Amino acid sequence: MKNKAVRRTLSILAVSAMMLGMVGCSGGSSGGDDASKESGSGDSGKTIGISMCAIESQMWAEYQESMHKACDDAGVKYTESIAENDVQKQNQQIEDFISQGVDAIIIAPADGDAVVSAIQKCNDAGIPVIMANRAAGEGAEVFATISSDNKEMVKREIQYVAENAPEGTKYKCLELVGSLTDVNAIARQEGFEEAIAEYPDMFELAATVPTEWKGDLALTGVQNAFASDDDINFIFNPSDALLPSIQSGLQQLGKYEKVGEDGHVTLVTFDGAADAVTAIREGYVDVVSVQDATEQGKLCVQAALDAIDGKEASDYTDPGFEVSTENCDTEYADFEGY
Amino acid sequence: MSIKKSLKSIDAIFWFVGVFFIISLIFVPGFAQFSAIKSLLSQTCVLMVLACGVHLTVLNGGVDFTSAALLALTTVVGGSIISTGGALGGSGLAIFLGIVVMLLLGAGFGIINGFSVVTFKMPSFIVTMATQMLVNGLAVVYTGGSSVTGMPAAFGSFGNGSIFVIPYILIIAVLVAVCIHILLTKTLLGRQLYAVGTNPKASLISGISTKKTIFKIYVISGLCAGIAGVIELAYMQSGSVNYGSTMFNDIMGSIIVGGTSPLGGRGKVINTVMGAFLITMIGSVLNILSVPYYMITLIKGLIILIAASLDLVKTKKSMAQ
Repeated sequence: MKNKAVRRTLSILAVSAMMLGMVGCSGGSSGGDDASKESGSGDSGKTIGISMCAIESQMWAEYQESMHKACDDAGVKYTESIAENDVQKQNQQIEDFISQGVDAIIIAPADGDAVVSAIQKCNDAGIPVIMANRAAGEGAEVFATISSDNKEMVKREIQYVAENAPEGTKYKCLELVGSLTDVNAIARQEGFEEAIAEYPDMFELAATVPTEWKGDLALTGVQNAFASDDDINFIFNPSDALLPSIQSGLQQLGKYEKVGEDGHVTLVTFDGAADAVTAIREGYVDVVSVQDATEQGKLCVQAALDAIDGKEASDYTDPGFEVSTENCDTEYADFEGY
Repeated sequence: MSIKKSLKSIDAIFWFVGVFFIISLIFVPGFAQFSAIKSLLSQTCVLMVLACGVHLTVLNGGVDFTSAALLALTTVVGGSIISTGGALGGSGLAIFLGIVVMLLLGAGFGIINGFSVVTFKMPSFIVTMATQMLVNGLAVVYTGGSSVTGMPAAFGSFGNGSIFVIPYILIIAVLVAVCIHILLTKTLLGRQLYAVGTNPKASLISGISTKKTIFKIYVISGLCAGIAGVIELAYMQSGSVNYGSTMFNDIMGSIIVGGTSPLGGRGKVINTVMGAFLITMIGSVLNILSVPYYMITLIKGLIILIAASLDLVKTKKSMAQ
């Protein structure tokens, strides 16, 4: 009986020590771990909360790195959370930032509409919010939105393909679509469909595959689309995060050929990841529209600093640029992607 | 002597929650303030209600995967009825109707699950996994994948309002937990459920209608998911097909950390409630401390693993006795 009581007390003490250890280890995290850093020089005493939807793509990884570097350069602390594309989790993490008492919050939302409630809480707490890459839904006040001109960028890509296609070319298109809760995915889909409607004699939409930004869905989508229509010769990919799955699908089907070779499937992609730029240089991908994640990350931090300093807000729309098999070794010879 | 006795009778989960809460209050900067505690209590509500419902199915030796998925379907369907952009313009009637539909949806899928488990004698994990996929699919088809926004102000202020530090939605969640606690401890259904969970064959021989018991718990679990949907919609002020997508681990974590046996027949709902609170508090505190997200997942996983191992040791000991 006595032993039992001792064991019980010891186990509670052990758990307490473990919890204290957890709290202690993470409490002094400045400069020590990945999630919270403090610049060595010129510390302003301010902290920016960075709420990332996910970091599964090279674009988001670059975005994140750029924000970290900008914070370090500016001498501000940052604290970061990653929501694994779970909007509920992201809302909770933003609320935790409010509890933490951060001075500004940069949100890369998994879903711009579903994050409105958390932004309203930031508004109530007087903490300025900067939207990274995706706009917020209506009903909340944001200090600035840093985003890409998705629709126009996709339209320019289609224009490039149309202008470079030999006379009489007909494209049977497979369109991949990202998450339907993502305003960027919707804008890219609309941009693509509006652009091909301008060339009705050249483009025909054969299949639309929703991917939820998941590589496995993209792979099976490509396989199924070709199984039902083997004449597909054009794929619109709304994010480089899905490119490896598409490449794998085409390789399995024996259709991964270079531009100009017989059986080449025209590949138009979006983001500007290193994989895509390499594939363009190798001749397998035709064109990628690049959103400047490095610049956007920097601008998000700048906007957060402006908000903290009480300066005027200014939105920024990244016009983007296209890297293609035509210009990858000339105009953009130095661009490696990210 | 009596104090010593009553201290001994307190389950381990209460000690864990108490110790972690006090340590956090003292050592975590920003945690010991009104807004942080209110936020933590609000964050716990949905998990608490869902875990209470699934707790019943686990007591029976089963599981309910549909529960978290229903969060998505009920919020998008209910949200579209309640929304100011809906046909009823966000009126009081719209709110009432939306809530009723959400509860019916939850209970309806509970009926499908219960019926399939009882009538076709299908394992609950297969049935509820299938209905989970069905529910997810329906949510996407219903909205086309987009979120539902524009909740009326009254509904929003219910979701985010509080009496001092106690959010209104927590009162609803606690009421649900109390109802299930009474059901388990004071009613025939509760006693039958423990009996069926411990030994279904013996229960059948002793005259308990196992089919009815099992059917009822899936309906209650579905109803809990409907209530959780109402809370989620009021709190988040939007419905989304993404809600609940990563929640099932936390639901099972709450139940197992609370000491409920995954094999069925043993466990208290009050401990599951504390488990939900502990799981939410760990996530929240570690977030405030800027611990990287994947580290938080790792720590939660370790805690659940330790709790499950302790349960196994406990079960083996009681079997040996």
